[in-house]
Amino acid sequence: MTETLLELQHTGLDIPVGGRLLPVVHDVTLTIARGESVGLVGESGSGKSMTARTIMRLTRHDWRPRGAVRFAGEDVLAMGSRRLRQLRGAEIGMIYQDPRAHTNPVRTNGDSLLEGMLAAGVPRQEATERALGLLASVGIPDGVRRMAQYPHQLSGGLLQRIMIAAAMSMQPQLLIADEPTTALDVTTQEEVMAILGEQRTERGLSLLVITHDLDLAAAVTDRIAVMYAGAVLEVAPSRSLHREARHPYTVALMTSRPALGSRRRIQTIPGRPVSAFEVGEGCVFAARCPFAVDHCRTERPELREVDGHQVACHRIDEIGDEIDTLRGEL
Amino acid sequence: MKEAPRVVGRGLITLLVASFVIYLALSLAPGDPATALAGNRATPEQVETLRQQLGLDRPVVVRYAAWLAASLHGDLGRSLQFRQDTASLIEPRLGVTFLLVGYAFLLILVFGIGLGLLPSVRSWLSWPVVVVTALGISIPAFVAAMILIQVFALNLGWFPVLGTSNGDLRDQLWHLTLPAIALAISWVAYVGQITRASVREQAGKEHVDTARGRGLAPRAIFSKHVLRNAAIPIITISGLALAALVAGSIVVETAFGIGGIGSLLVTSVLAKDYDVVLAISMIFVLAFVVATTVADLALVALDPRLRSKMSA
Repeated sequence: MTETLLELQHTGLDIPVGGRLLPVVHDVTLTIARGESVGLVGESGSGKSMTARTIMRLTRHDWRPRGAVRFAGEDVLAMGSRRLRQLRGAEIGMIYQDPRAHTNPVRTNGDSLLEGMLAAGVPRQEATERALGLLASVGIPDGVRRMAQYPHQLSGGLLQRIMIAAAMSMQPQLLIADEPTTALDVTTQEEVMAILGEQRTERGLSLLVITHDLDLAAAVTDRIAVMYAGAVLEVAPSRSLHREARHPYTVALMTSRPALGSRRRIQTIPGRPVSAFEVGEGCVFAARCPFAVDHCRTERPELREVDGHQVACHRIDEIGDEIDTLRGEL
Repeated sequence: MKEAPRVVGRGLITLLVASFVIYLALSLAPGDPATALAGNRATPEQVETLRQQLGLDRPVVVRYAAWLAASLHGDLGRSLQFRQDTASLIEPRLGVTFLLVGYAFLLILVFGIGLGLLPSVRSWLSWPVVVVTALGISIPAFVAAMILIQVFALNLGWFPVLGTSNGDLRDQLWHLTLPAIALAISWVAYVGQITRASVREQAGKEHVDTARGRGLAPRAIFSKHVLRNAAIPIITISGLALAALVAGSIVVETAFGIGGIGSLLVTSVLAKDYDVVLAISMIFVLAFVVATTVADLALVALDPRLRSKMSA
């Protein structure tokens, strides 16, 4: 394997609510190599975005990150504010779910595009040229006109392209895309994902794609990490996750998906999705897992290597046959 | 700015409509100038003759049109009370009122916005600012005036108790300091509250996170992404404040014995000095329209979304 760029080890995040610290992320262990694309998938509220914020330390002063976040070997959680500003933008770029909410409505698109570069000390002339080149590369040929316009004069798809261009302008090594296409219509989604893919191959960029769309994640990533209630339960190669899911949650997730051409009734996972702060000491999926035993409810399982997947399940060796049966229904 | 004619036009229409409403309201008020002018011993016939001479028997719309035409030529009628041209009566008093209002407005901008920004500089000041502004809003100008006179003029003797000065600007401002504070105090508190709330709201916006994620320094984020956006409601409120100060000058000028148009309005109303009341009311409306129009123009300049909405 190539050099590791980002390493999360038992990373968590606690947020104070009414005087108490509540966990929104329990335990995320994940690595991203240089040039690799990794998907982080999970239901709404499973802590995907909060994990992304922790990586960039885009947290409020009273939020408490836990565990380790290492970027190119450096401990992000120990960085001072000056070093952190260099990291943000110049080393890790980020694009967001709703480009409109994430763009200042009273400043021109040019201001948004240039502000990161200007803050990093790039001369305005050079920054403008770089921005125009980037706009062309994300499919915006009339960059000069677009830069003079305001965000409300652009469609969501165009605005997201500008966000991508702004993120790429600082030449980061890692780009975190937090649900980059959720707010866009389907055709625009594909274009935006294609642009991200191009940027990745051209620049040797590492990608962390956060999404709840398993197909989208499978299409643009090398590996997928499945998150539930604030913890990563399985990490698998994108190509084989669908057919070879190991963890009871992932398998249940796969069998709950509707398939084109199939008249089979859609299955659901019994119980309701829980939030990270609702789960106790044990496995975060224990309450809904058909294979859960007492041990599962008292001790949190660690991720371990099983047939090329990483799976966090105490009983993974014992329940192999049942899992195969469940998966057989796919 | 494409929108300027539209905004100014809207202001002019407001002015026209407001002037007619005021004219109408005054004409409906009990007692008319003819009765007042003729005196107690006049017979009904004499009053009626006077009414005809003054043109008061004509329909109100005709009278309004005549008044409007004359006003536009600078003829604001005559003061019955002072037996003087209304324009020449008002003109020398206008300066004092404008100075007072300008002084109070400056206090509002500096201390109101300053107060509202304190919690952004030191977060522990947030609650004290909330309490102080809540108290400040509830102090009426006349109460503030009495307290200020008692404490700073009578007890401490730092400022004059009453009156204005004919001296240089510094001396005039010294005389107007307590009145300006009395006039400004509740608006300082209000603008302070709006500023605090607005800055707080903008600081929590998602695009501020984008700016943080681009590696901008806190100072740059505050000025370019928080303050710039928070200025929009602050300007709206400041425009209203300026307009309200002009009306508030009535009470404060009376309380401090300042010979501006506010106190003149009070004496004119009591004397049923029709033309003067009308002229001063119009000046107030004009000030109100000018203040809100300027605020509107500033908003259009500051918020691009307003621009395209109007040109669309």
